[in-house]
Amino acid sequence: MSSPITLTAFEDRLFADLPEDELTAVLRSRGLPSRRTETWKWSDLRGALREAREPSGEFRGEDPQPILPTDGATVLTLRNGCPEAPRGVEPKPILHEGEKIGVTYVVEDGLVLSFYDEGRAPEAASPGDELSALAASAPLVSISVLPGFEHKVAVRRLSDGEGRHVDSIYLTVGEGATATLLETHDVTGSPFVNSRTEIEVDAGATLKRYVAQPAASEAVVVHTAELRLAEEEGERKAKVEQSVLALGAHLARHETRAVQLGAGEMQADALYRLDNALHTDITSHLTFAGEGGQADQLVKGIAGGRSRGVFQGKFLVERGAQETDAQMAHHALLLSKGAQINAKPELEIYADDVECAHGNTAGAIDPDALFYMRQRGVPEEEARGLLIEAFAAEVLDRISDDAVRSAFERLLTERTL
Amino acid sequence: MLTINNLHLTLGGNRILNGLDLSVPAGEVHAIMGPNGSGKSTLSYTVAGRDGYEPDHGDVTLDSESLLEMGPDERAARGMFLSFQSPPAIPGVATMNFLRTALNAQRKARGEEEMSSAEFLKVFREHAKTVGLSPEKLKRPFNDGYSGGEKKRMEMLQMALFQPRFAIMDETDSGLDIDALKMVGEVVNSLRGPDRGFLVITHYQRLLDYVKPDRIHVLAGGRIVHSGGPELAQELEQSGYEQFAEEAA
Repeated sequence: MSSPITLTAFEDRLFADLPEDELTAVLRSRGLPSRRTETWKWSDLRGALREAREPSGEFRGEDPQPILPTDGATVLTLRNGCPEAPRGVEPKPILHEGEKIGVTYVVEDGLVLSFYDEGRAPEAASPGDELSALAASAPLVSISVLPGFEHKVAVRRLSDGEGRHVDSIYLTVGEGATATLLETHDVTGSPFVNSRTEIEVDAGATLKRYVAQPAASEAVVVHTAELRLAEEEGERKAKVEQSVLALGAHLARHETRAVQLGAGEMQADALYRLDNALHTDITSHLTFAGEGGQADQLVKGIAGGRSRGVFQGKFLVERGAQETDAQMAHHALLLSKGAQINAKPELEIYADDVECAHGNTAGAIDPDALFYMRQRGVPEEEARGLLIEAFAAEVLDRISDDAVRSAFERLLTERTL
Repeated sequence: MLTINNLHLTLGGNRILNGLDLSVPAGEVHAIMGPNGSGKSTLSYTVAGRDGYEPDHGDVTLDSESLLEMGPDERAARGMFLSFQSPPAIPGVATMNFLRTALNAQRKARGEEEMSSAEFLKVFREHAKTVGLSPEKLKRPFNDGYSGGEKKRMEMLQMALFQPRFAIMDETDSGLDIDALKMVGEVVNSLRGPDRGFLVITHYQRLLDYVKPDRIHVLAGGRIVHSGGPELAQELEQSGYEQFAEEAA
């Protein structure tokens, strides 16, 4: 263990509030992830959270319009990290060895929401993974889409104030079930939002997960998703389509860690659009642990002003994960001299019969296309707008849910104007 | 109509245009011929206003109004059209949406009423038929997956659509077969009129069989070194540009 460090005012207060367990002990010794942490070298969380923060208390804002359309969805709202129980459904206690540890609601046929009083027992996390572990200690909300059913669930995270909000969601998509999970971060003020979404996708099940985080210039958002795709059963595979739209924060990190235990299929896309001094970090770590896993990842970013976009993508193909077929691409468009893109695409392969590839580019708007459009009469700003939209369209076109795609387009246009 | 006066331009330390004078009156078609590297495409970019092509000296006017302080889109709204030698593909940009945006931006800049979708579609389809581009092709993003010849057809479609005051055609004939050349001739001839001018830049005489120029100019060493009537094309075809090399030097 490294020598003790001088804690920041934020860390001092945070560690005083946390229970004295192993996780707190390692955090106290090495501090929050910072530039010196390999997996956070471009996202200095420690630097972004230096000052002590007053707890946010209750969410004071009005409920805003949903960021993504919630038609037909069961909505779970978290205000400053506190989940709101569903209305109009009777709770039933969850008992463990005779003691009540939470309540459960059968919201609809095949859809069960459970609110536990406590989170997971904290575990020591390896460097860089502490934030997910911290969020996991928040009281757990479990969402189960039972085998064979089809449900849409919207998790709306509303945050204000300046305090630290943690939440932990656990979703299971049973065999042959289809789930759409909409996750949104609606942030005002300067809170530190630390969310965790853990997901199990069974054989023959399909999950569509869409995450939208509109710009929050003063806030820090760290959202980690941990997915497990079950081994296939015959032709029945676990399938995931994921798309993240991230419009930046003082510091924002959307991290996806996924394990495919067999021949699953995963699309792990993201689009980020940044201006001013906004920051977004798209990090993903896909592990192929069984034979025949497939992944297709397209991440695109557009950065203007003095903003910074970060992409860290890793495919780990374990020994024996033959016939893995995985493609990773990250393309960034830089709109100004002050904007910065850091990208690290990585393949780590221990099997010999695999098809893996990665591509990474960063560049400015094509001057030939811009001049051409202007020569046809389109004013410069409008031409740039059309070219930016066109650049983003490739990611949006891969979203199979029409309503979500339209909402993403709208969020992006409002942002561009 | 279009007047170019003592135009000098340096690119990357090299003098490309070197005192170029040219005047194309309304209603006329002029051709510029010249060897490779004589500055033909530089001239078209300079007149259209591409970034980096700002002249050191001289002026370019359209209808007595100087273009040099205007951006390319303002020049387009004044009626300047450039048919590109190598038009780019613009992936992700829907063809019709782009062209309607462009047309209406020009109209707006001129204080004219915007064209409705229905009206645009009607006009667009007519011109598409004239230039021989299929509706399937036009559903693709702009020039996406188009052959060289199809891109040139798209340039002609736009020239017909925008009805410019003045059109520069930069080697529109390169890479075209006889049928396509005929089509280019049809489009130009249908647009010819007392209020419109054309400057046709070409290497070869063959396009001029379909587009009859009023005057032909020889560009060498960054300026016009010789001018003559339509018969000059035939002469150049036979004797080449060498006779003008001395004048250019």
